[in-house]
Amino acid sequence: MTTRAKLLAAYADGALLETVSRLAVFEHESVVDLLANLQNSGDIDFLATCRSEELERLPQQSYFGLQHVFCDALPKIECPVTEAVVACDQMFEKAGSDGSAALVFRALREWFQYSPSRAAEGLSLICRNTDNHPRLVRPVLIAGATHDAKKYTDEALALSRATQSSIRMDALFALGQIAPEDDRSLLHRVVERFTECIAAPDSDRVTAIALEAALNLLKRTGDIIVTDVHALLVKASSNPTPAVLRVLADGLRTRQNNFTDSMTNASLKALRLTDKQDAVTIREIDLFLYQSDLDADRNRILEFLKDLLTHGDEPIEIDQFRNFRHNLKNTSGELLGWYVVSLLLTGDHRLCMAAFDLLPYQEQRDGLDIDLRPFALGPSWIPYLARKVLGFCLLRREGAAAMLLSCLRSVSEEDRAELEDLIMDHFLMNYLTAIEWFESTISPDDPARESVDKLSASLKIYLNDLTECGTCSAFAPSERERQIQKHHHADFWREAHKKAQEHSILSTVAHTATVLYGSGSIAYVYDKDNNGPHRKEIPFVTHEHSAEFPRLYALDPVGLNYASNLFRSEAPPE
Amino acid sequence: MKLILVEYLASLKERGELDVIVPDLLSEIGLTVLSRPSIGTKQYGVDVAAVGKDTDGTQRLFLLSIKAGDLRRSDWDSGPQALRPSLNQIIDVYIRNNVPAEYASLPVRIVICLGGDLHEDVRVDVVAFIDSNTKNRITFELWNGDRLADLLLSSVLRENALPDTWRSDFRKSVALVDEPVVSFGHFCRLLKGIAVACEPKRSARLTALRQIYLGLWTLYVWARNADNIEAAYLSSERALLIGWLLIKDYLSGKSKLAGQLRVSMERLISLHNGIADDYLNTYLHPRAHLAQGLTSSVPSHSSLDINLRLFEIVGRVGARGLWLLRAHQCLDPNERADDRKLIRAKIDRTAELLANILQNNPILCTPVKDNHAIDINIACLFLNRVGCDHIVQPWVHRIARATRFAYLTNGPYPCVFDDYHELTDHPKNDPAYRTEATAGSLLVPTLAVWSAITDDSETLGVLADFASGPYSHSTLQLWFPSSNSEEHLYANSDQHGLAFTDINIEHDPQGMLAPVKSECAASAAFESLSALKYGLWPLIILSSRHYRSPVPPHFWPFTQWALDNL
Repeated sequence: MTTRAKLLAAYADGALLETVSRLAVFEHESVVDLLANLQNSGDIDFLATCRSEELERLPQQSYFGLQHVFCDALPKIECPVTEAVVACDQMFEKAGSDGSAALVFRALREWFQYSPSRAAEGLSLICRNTDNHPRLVRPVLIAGATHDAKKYTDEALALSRATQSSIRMDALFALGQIAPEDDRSLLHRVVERFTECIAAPDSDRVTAIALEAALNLLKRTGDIIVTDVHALLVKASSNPTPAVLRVLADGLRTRQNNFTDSMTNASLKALRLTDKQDAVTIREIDLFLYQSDLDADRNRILEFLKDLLTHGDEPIEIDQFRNFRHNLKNTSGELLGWYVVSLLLTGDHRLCMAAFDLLPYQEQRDGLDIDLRPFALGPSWIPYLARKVLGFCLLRREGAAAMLLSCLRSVSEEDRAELEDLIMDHFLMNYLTAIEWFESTISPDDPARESVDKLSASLKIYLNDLTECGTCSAFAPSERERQIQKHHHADFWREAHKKAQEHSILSTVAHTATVLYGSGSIAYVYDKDNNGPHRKEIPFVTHEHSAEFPRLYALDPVGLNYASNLFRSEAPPE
Repeated sequence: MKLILVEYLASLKERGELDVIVPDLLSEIGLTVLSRPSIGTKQYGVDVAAVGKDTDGTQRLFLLSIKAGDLRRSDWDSGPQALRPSLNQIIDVYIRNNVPAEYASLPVRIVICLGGDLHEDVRVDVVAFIDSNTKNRITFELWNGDRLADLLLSSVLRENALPDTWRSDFRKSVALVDEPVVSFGHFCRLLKGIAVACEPKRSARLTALRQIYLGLWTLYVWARNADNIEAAYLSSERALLIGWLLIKDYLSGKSKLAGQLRVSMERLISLHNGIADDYLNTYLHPRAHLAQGLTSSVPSHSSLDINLRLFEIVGRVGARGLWLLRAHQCLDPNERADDRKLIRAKIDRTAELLANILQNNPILCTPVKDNHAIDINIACLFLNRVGCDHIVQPWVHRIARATRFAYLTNGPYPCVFDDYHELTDHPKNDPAYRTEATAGSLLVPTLAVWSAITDDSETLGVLADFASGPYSHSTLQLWFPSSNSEEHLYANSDQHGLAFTDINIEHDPQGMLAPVKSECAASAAFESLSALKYGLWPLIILSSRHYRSPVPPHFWPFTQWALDNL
């Protein structure tokens, strides 16, 4: 049976939408063309089906295949404007809260774009009946402007004063997309309208929409309106709502090239007010930071982070900027070190915690090469920094070791003994093998060489004594205690494994099969030409991760915690 | 059983070990011991002299020359401990000049007493010596480890004195010294059996005490050979307490039995202290001077195991120090200057050991159990008695600070739970649990009292604020002995004593101590404890440590009893 015949049969059986969704997986293009042709020839009424109960019955998993076909077919279909609009409305509703729901209106825009008459019909429909089709404004204005930008800009300006707020805002938004860049006077009127809205907003959303539209316009027009938009942005940023913050963050991410320095600064200043729960804005900020030049812009980014991570009672955590962290962790050791040290030197608990989060679990570089000279640290500051490293970064062995080594390189002779004691008592006693890392990292003429040699000698003596004494069987816990401890550990790791699985990306994309026996499994698979199934034996591989805990975590947990707390709460030197 | 004893006897050292066992053995087989080994006194080859009937019914004088371990050629005729010169001295000097007049006419049996065996390479020499020196009045006999074991089994450990079930416990206890808690459990059953069996008979108590002594010695020797004397240490504490329970009512008067019981008890104490010294010298001294030395030597990755073991150690060292102080106290100030000096040196060494342990193992500032107050108290009592308040004060301060910190940060703060299972789950992140885990506290008032004793107002302030603030739900308490304590103290057979909860931690040291002092004065039951009557006050501290009951506050240095007796 041909695809055409299948579609006709399905239409007759009342299963057109399900069939379209299924066939489109393999024959998308031909299904799109066939549907448009069948609709235009009157053999089927695809749009009517999309408005019928059949759409309601369609399972959600089949919807997105259908939506894809619908969006590509709609611009090719000849039909009255209301039919296209109603079908889009129905498809939009069916999508529910999915982020792709609005794609159908992009298709509708293309449908309007197809001919000036369609756009004109759409406009007249808006003017006739504003309540029934609130989502029509943007597609019509944007599509119409492709035929007559001036006319539709005027229409948009008029609609931006409509009584219905959604129409007002859609019109404002459309202005940013359609105002012709070559008509200075019209541009001026549009910017004035934006300014008007921001100066006297009738709702929180209006400021955001006007700002977003202005930024879109700026992107299109270049420097022509930059002064006006700058003023507008500064005004909007002075008392920003969450929606405005979202626009600012998005602006920084997507249009930063059009931003002047002062616009960027004003935006960053406003963004420090971002709420911890505002996931969308935070994601935008994260992507902006990810795209930024972390080296050239280091001072500005650092100041922004300082503000952002300390603002209010419940500030944002660095953990929420995953892309930025990922980017920073893959930069040079010097740059990562600079950020970490800068944050630690503030002494602010939240920023120091952020510094800890920036350090990778296991350092893959040759070592964080942190030059402390640019910080020009005065007397007592190096031991202070070392205590902050020990207080906050102890669990990141390599990172902490690198920073402590930098401290040893830069410390004054006056503070050297104090620093050596600190490193010995609070770092090397926790990681007995870390001295090897120090030794392998430094060169013969390294300024830290003497200290490292001294620490190494002391540690060697200590380790020899310790090895000589060994463990004492008389101090061993009883068999019962060992068993309880074993179960306790097993429970702990089971729980940890469960939590790790919950947060694993794999668990969201694959299902879990628990294999009780064997060192591999058998699977039957199809090849790319859909031939098969072929039998495959898949051997299992193990994946393991290990991390070293500070030694005092077992030997003196409260003492370790107490010392860390003291170091953490220490105020910076006068 | 015999193999265990043979192995045990072969492992005994001559001085203070084998020569302590043999006289008791002679007594048990019906001989009257005339002289025992003593250091520094010229013995002319005789380690033990006894008189009594031989197996053939003849009344004889037995002269024993004791030699630990095996007799080899190298030990026969040369070296400071050679046997032949000793035997010659017995014949040439002792028999001629040192035999008491009343026994001068008795036939003499010279006994070559070996802990181990006679080696083949020296047998001919020994037989030749015996042949040439055997005369009408003088005969020889060889007692090797095998023979001694037979004698032990037919006397102290004879079937009707030590039934099969106890022998089984004893064997298990010896066999399982590598699992100290299990071994200790079997030894306790043995002790219980011995204690119950001798109850109706007054005279059986001496035999019971000797059985305990011998059993403990055997266990200790086996444990020593296995390089793990933990079971022996635990068993020696229990042996002392049960031993005291058996004899405490039979010590008054000047009867022979009372005297023998006192001597046997002192020997048991001496054995316990010997085991304790071995514990300190073998396990603690080599590690104490190292940072985290003891902490690192606990074969476990769990901080709980380390915490429990380290506080256990501190309590043991403190208790040993207090026994040494008691030994020093008992010596006549006008005599035995060397002994006094020796004990004084041991006291100083023990205090230094404790100071090193505290300094190098910071986990000792963070007790995880409230009843670690007992160990802390014992250690402080010892340090205070030897003038080391400068160690007590900062230690108590650090504990107070760490306790408050751990509690406020929900770290492993001291809790009232004692069961290991519960301790592994401690702490939990649940306010109700936290309240339950700290429902009562012996630790906080104990720390407060020591802060007051060392005149440390700062620590008192920390504790006062803590107790009246976040810890206000906790019932602060001390424990005083009562009239029923004497009955249960040594066997832990039931709850006893009285809780004193009227405690308000004051910022002022004198204000803090006043109510405790007055309650000590009012609480008369303490002074009627039998151990105190006979000068064995460390036994009460040992009981506290062993059974995890609080140390009576009367031991604190500001009480009248302490001022008069310590």
